Amino acid sequence: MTYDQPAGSLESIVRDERAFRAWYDEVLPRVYRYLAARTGGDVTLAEELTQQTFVEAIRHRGSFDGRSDVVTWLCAIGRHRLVDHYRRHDREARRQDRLIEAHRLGKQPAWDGPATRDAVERALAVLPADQRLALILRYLDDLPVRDVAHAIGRTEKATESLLVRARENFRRAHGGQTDA
Amino acid sequence: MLDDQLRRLLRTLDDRSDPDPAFADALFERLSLVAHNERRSRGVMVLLAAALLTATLAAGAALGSGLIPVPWTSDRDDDPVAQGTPTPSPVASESARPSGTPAPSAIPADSVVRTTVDGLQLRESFSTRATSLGTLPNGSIGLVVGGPRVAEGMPWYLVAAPSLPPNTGCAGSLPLSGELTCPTWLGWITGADVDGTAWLTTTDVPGGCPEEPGADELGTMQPGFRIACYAGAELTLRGWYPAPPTGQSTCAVADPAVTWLVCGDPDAPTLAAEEGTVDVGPLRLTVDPASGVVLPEPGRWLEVIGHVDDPASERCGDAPGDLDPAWLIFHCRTQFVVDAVRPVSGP
Repeated sequence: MTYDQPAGSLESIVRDERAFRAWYDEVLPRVYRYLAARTGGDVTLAEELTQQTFVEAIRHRGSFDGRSDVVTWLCAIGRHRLVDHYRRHDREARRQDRLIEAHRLGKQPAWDGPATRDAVERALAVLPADQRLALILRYLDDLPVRDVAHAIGRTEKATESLLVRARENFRRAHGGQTDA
Repeated sequence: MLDDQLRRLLRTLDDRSDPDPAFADALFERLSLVAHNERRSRGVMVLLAAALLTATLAAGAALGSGLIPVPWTSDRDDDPVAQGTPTPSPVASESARPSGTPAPSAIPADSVVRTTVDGLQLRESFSTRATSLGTLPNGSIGLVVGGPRVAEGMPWYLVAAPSLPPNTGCAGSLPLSGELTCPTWLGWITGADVDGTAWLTTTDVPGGCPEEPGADELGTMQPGFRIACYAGAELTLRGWYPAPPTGQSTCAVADPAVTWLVCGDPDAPTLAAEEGTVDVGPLRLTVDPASGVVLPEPGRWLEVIGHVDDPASERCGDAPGDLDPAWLIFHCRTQFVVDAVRPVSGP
């Protein structure tokens, strides 16, 4: 069974409980993995965003026009929820800027650290929320800068500046973890 | 740093884990309920629509005849400020709005918002029992700097008027009272009625955000909009660095650790667009003494890299005193903080 459904068929799936469950079992892991990869290993947050995504999708299932893969559509909803989340937590995360600033005058570790998931997660975790989000959208979702700017509500120029700082801070944080 | 290298590192995040089965089951149950309720409500909505149309026509006739008072119209008899006692506002409790309007989603921090009703109360705290600081005309513009906090069934936002550049426009008076037409207020506003009808809506910065603002543009921009436009951005400006006037007053209202941000440099450095500007340019340059940035001798062109919304702003509210901590934090966030500076030959 494929779920690249034409417009309107999501409604028919939802009406049939068995079909709905089969559809859900197939798409849930893919959407969950998409969000889990972008929440720095925070399972609770990944589950919360997954829940928001599916509830919104079911509420607005009539707006799914079937022209894209339904998982692509769900991930797009999830990305919006992810952006909302990071915006809400942006101010909190800005406090972490102080930690980054504290490293600024320190030595500049090499960029190449171990390409392990844990190391990358830890490096991302110390970035301010806006920088983390910009990196994820640009390099994990492969969005062009213009689309990243649109997603986070900034100008392209401001987004480019943000990415420059995000890359630099990530480089320091990631390299710094190998210094111990 | 190579983009491909960064892309390769981030790709290690691609997750292969499955969602927890208990979570998956619980979510499916919820989705089934949502789908069921949606189908049910669609049927009910058809019936409600007819009823609502009838009710709206009747309410419109009653409003026109004065039988139903419009709750958010300023009424001096009900104004808690005029009465001198903090009493519940009639704004939230006596609404004649139709119910069933979808609740608006939370407005993110640093959004620019506009009021959609006349006479919306600005309060000291997020409660209709909190002291009213005055009322806002319809269309008032502000920046969300806190909230939402839910109280009495309504979302509350801490909103700051964008304020004004130095030496311009109206003078804000304290304490606030009456209709607040000067954009220098800060307080809590209900973002929506209990039925979800929005009283605040997000809007764009009036006039937009110049992509590469000059010293004049940034200096004369309403300070709150600097946050809306450029929080998190690195700004590079060129401008004339005039010799500051002598005899600057001192300022001692802040936590000593952030005096530089609250009060500014005692030498009062500024940046102007025009060569030969004397004393004061429109953009104040704020320098963190711990940053190691040293401004050169004045009377020359400078290229300055800096930012607004410095993280140290969070500490500006720590100081004891009469000034509202939220206002101090807002003020500090609007300051242009210098990260680097170098003399240049011209604009």
